[in-house]
Amino acid sequence: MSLQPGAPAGTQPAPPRRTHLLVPTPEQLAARRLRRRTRLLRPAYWLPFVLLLVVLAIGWGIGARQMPYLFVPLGEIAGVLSEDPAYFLQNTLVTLGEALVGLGIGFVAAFALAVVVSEVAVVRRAVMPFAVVLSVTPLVAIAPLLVVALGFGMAPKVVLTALVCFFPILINVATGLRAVPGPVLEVYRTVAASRLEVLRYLRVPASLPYVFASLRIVFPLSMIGAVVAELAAAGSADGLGSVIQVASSQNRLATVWAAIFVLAALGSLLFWFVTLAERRVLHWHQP
Amino acid sequence: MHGVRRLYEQADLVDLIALDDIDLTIEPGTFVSIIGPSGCGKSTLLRLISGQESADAGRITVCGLTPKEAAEAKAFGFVPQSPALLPWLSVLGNVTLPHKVNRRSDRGRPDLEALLREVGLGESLHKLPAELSGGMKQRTAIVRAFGLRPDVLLLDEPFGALDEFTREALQEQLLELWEQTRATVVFVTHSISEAVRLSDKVVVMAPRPGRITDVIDIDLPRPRHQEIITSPEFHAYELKLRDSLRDAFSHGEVAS
Ligand SMILES: Nc1ncnc2c1ncn2[C@@H]1O[C@H](COP(=O)(O)OP(=O)(O)O)[C@@H](O)[C@H]1O
Ligand SMILES: [Mg+2]
Repeated sequence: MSLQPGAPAGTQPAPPRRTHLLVPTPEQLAARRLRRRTRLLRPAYWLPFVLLLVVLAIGWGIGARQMPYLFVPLGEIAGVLSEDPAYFLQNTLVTLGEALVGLGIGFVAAFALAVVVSEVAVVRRAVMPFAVVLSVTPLVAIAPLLVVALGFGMAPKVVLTALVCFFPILINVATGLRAVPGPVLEVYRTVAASRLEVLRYLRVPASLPYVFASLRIVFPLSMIGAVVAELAAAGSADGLGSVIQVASSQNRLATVWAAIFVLAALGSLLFWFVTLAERRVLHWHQP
Repeated sequence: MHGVRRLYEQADLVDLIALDDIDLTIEPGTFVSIIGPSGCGKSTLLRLISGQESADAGRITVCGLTPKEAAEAKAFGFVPQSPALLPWLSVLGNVTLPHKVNRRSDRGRPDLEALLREVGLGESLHKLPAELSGGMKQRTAIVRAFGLRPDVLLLDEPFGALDEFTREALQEQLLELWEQTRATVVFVTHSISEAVRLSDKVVVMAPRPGRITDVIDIDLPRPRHQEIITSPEFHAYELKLRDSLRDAFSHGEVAS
């Protein structure tokens, strides 16, 4: 566009404003969108994984022939699963329920204690050494005791899961609540923010990355807790752990493996769920 | 502020005199800079004024109140060297949050969006801090402090981490905001030209122990725009301040 020096103001269109953004044309935009959406369809993304999967499946087949007391052909496992999917689904839901209830109770309790620990130095000094020791202790080992004490119902499974999840959450959240940078605290202390306000507006949001870090640890742990407790109280109740215990005592290897595969799938699903939630909630956070 | 002293116990159990015998009166509505080599207790002085820490001797009053009472009354706005924004809140959210704490003493929320627009953040109101440049973050921090309508603004080397151009632009905006509110400003810096450009009064400090060695009045007309930097009067003040700082340094060396 050429500017005419003599033209009166207002008669010429305003020159386009310069910006630092290059907006693509609609066609380019559509092409870019398509490229992004179909990214996962490109072989470079899925081929390495699929290749390794094939290699592992072949290895499994060889293993099944060499060690028939450990491995079963994949076809048999698939057969067991497709024969009675309702049986596996029902037991999966039982295990999942125990794991999630235990995790929920453990989380609420651990978070509450983490707040107290981060606010009250005396409590912190008393509690944290124990928390560190217990978080590295394999607490699943007390499963048989819990079964003896609490019976064969859901209680020992939930308690064990809650216990196993409790300490990693406590340690992570207690750390996260203290992760507010000094200058930020100073800014809000100069306006005399109360401790409750600092907790609510600064400490709790700042702890969210740590909360998710702990969830990544604790979701798989919750499955381990529930399954171990089921193994310890086998034959008496439902759940994939019980399925494994009963089937292996009767030498039904295909069923054992089927249950293990379902557990793996369930664990992955939970992990994926945490990742998804993390991306939603922590969009502001770049590690 | 009278006879103020602040001690810190060091790792070797010896007390460090961070500030000693500080006598300073700051007239309401003036812009005062504090300049001195690092470690001379400038930040400590700000923490004492805002009631974050207590003096070990002497007395500080802010508008007739103790520092703690003044903080309780939301008399202060504070801008630290790092912008200290909350990464999960937008620009607007960061500027608004100080109004949601200690509500009882809040002095009313000015039009924060307009204030942000005024410093050129109009298109970034809903952006997260991670999407901003260093200068934009510091602008947000300044609006956060000004938006509180404080009696006293405390700024601790707010432009220390910025490049020359951004720094000058922000000085200009700081002055514009200040002309509107005329709060008392205590501005810590270690840039001589920044101190001359902005202040009515420059307080020169020396380290070990942290103390005031000189107070220089800057008698330049306001508003002070970019051009003033090249004027001979400005230059004369810069030289004077430089001399004063050199004296402060040599005193420090003799003492230690
Ligand atoms: N919390 C503290 N504990 C111990 N020593 C401190 C503390 N804060 C500051 N100091 C010491 O006090 C002196 C002044 O520090 P500061 O006020 O940060 O100086 P400046 O801001 O002028 O660089 C320094 O020697 C510093 O090491
Ligand atoms: Mg400092």
